[in-house]
Amino acid sequence: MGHFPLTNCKILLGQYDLTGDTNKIKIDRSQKEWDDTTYGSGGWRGRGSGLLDGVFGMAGIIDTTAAGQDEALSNGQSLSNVPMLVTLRGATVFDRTKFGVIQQGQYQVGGGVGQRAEWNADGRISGYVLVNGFMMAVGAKTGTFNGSYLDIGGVLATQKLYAQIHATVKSSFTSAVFKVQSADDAIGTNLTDRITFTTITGLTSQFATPVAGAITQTFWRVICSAFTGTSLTVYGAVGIN
Amino acid sequence: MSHQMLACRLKLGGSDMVADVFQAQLNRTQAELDNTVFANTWKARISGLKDVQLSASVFDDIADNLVDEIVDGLFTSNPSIAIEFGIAQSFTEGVNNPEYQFTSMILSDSMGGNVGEEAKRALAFAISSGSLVRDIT
Repeated sequence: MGHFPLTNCKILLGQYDLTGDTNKIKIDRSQKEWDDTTYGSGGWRGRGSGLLDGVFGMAGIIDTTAAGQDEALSNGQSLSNVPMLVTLRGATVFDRTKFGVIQQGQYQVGGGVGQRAEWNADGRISGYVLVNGFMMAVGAKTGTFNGSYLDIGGVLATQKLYAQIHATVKSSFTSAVFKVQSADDAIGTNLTDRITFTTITGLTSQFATPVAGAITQTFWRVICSAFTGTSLTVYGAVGIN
Repeated sequence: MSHQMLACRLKLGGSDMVADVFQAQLNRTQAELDNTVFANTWKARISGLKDVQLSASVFDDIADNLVDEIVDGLFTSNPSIAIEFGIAQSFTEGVNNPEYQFTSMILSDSMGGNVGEEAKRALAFAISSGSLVRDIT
């Protein structure tokens, strides 16, 4: 792989795909430092680890059409625990992604006369964690499917399994059921359902209730076990933290 | 030895970042404690706590086991991340190639940017325990 330009990021907020309206994305992850210095520290500053935090910062060009960027961020302003997902290199299956639920911190629009209408916003992690995961289901789905397996690793007793799904475009769509499954290997030995998302009936997003470890199986996939309708575009991600 | 162009080396938690790092700066400080008394006509000072922080910028790489995965793992390693830093490329320490080493915690990780820019990450570390070692052996 290697170093790469930021030309193909994917930015999803709730059921909205903001990719075509965004030209800047920033993901800040930090950890609070505690002063842990004591008389036994030998004259050097000591530090301990405090709370982790995550912030998505973004900016772009305003789209005021129905179901466009402005509607997404205006609605998001009044909501908490809105699923957000970002990929930096692309959004194909197995690409890396950062996701989690956010509380929208700020949304700014406007400018001077004659300027192009632009916006900037940030979303701050509001529950659980900023998950470092992988894209496991991507694109328009027209029926049930079994996704490919990826060896992400097991879930330690101190970790949890996280999954999130965004449904962004539909056509004559009624309902679909998506699941996260684990297996011993890439041929599905001892296949086990780990997460079943609430049945999707329209454009929406879900951050599934995290599943506690330990899970020793290391291969993971996303499937659609029931599908009624013509087409639904989804982005599903799985991560372990 | 003479003055030289920066060609830094950096290891984070044992992972060699030389192929990705393009900026690194180690900042070593010491608190000053005012020791001035009425008998002094000049300000007097003694040394307080020593501190060390490191900032680094790297080009991002999301391939398996590389930058993204390494940095993500550092948050799990907090606050016991081994830092190795020098201003020459070779990790073989010597009297003409000192290496600064300390145990740290990662304070922040900032990634992303504007459309068309190369993907980068800005990282910040601070000493968490022990002392800064200047290793020349």
